[in-house]
Amino acid sequence: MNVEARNLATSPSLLMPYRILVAAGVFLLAMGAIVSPARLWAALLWGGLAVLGIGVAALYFLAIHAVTGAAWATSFKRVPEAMTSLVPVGGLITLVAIALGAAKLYPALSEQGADSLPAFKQMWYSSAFYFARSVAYVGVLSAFAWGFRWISRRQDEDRLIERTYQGRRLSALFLILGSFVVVLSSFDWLMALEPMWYSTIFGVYNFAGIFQSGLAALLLILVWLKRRGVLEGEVNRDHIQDIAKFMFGMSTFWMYIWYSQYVLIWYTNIPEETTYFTLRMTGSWLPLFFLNPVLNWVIPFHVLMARSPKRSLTIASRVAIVVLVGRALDLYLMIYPPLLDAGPRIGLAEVGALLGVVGLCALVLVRTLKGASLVPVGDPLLEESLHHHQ
Amino acid sequence: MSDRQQVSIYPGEEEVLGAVVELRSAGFRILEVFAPYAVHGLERAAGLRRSRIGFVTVTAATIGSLAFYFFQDWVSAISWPVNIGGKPYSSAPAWIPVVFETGVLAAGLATVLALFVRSRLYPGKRARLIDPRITDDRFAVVLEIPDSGFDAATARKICARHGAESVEEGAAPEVGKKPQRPTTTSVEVRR
Repeated sequence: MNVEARNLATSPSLLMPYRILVAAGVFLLAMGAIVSPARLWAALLWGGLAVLGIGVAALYFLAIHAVTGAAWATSFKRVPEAMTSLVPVGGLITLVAIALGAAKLYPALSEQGADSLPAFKQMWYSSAFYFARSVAYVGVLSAFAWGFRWISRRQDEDRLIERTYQGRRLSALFLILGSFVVVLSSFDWLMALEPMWYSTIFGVYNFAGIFQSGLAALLLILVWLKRRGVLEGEVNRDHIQDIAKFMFGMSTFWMYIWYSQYVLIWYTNIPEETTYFTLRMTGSWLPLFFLNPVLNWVIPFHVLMARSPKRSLTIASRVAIVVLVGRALDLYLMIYPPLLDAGPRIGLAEVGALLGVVGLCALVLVRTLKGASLVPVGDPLLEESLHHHQ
Repeated sequence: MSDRQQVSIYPGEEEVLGAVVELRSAGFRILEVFAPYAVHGLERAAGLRRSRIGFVTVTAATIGSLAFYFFQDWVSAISWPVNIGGKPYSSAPAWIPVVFETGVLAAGLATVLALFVRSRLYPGKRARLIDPRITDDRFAVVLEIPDSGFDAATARKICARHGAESVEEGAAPEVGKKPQRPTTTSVEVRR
């Protein structure tokens, strides 16, 4: 099979709904800022981390494939590559939320809050060090995102096998460095919301959520492209089944880590640790607390267990939507409980953040997808990937 | 089902794939295809039924997890209640790790056992090969010969067109009987 380089063509009307979503999101966020300014930064952090997570998941997806020498995903690797462009976008939103909302969000960063902390945490959460770290996280991840795309696009032109090895080396570096960033940033951006609480598995827990939601997003985008006749020949049912299988596995991994964190805290019953779950299991938070594992594990695990649902574009993409909603809820439960004393609330800012994020992701993705051939014509593994089957 | 089969032997994967595709489209039912290694697309081309072993796995996993959930509950709450850290006797969160492990263990063991039982594998079993060379460099297609209406000539013609080295009709190896020791081909096996 000889594959020609070709670019994604979009009509302006295709992107209109997403532009409207972004506009509506910004409008609602602005309204929310007037009505309840305290929650604006939390909403931005929520949206920013969701977007950043999907981008980081795409980096992991590409890196794992490059390092293991897997070929099956090569034919559609431009899609996860485009997803990596969400890293700087989500990262910037997150940084804005942190920089402007630090005093409201992070007790450890305020003067009086820091006094009650142990010495090491006082040093760790000194403002300058904290913000420098946050910028470094986003910088490192964005650099990897740019590097992955650059190597892959260069290969379209020069068709050098050396590019594959280059990508492999960069991927190995990412898997080490990126994992440090994921773990540390989830400590700094999420765990620091409750500075007296700590859980060493928290970084792994976040990685599980990030990777699972990224795979869901990848599956949705591929189904979207396939239904529009783009990548029709390059993405077959076996590709879809394998991504669904990957999502199924990561969903179980997420549940495993979620439970590991829960059961150890439940078992040892130390007051400093149980506060996290006590807060989330009282009052009207409780239904949401139990809904979280249902969306992230019970539904994907049981629906995707058999073979045919994984091969069905309709069922697999619906499960992917459930997983993405589950990821949003998971993040909501990490961010909001310490901020909302009166129980869960969804206000203008939160709706605005959700709508804006969906629209923004679509626009950024399409823009990056158009920047290169849809099929990586220079990749030596392309041929094998086109013939992928179970 | 008829107990007669036709076995054709091919020298390469292109040949066997071609033969499988044409035999199927000509209406012959393929019982099995033997190959020394996994040939891409062969299962799909031969239209072989998917293995149902997954049902064994999921059933065993369910039974294994449920059984040990209730076993732990019975031990800790009914048979010999012990106060551990002030937790209730019947503490579901503490059962989950064991439930998970026994679920996996039951699923794994049951799957292997089901495979052995279904394929009639037991210690010391002698290999019963359609042709010893299918473990080395030859490919074999087994066709069902129905009680009536088997067009042997056409089948042979299709097989020959795709480079079959030999085509033989004969009785299917009987299931459950003591397998015969292969005698004529032992030299080739050793090679």
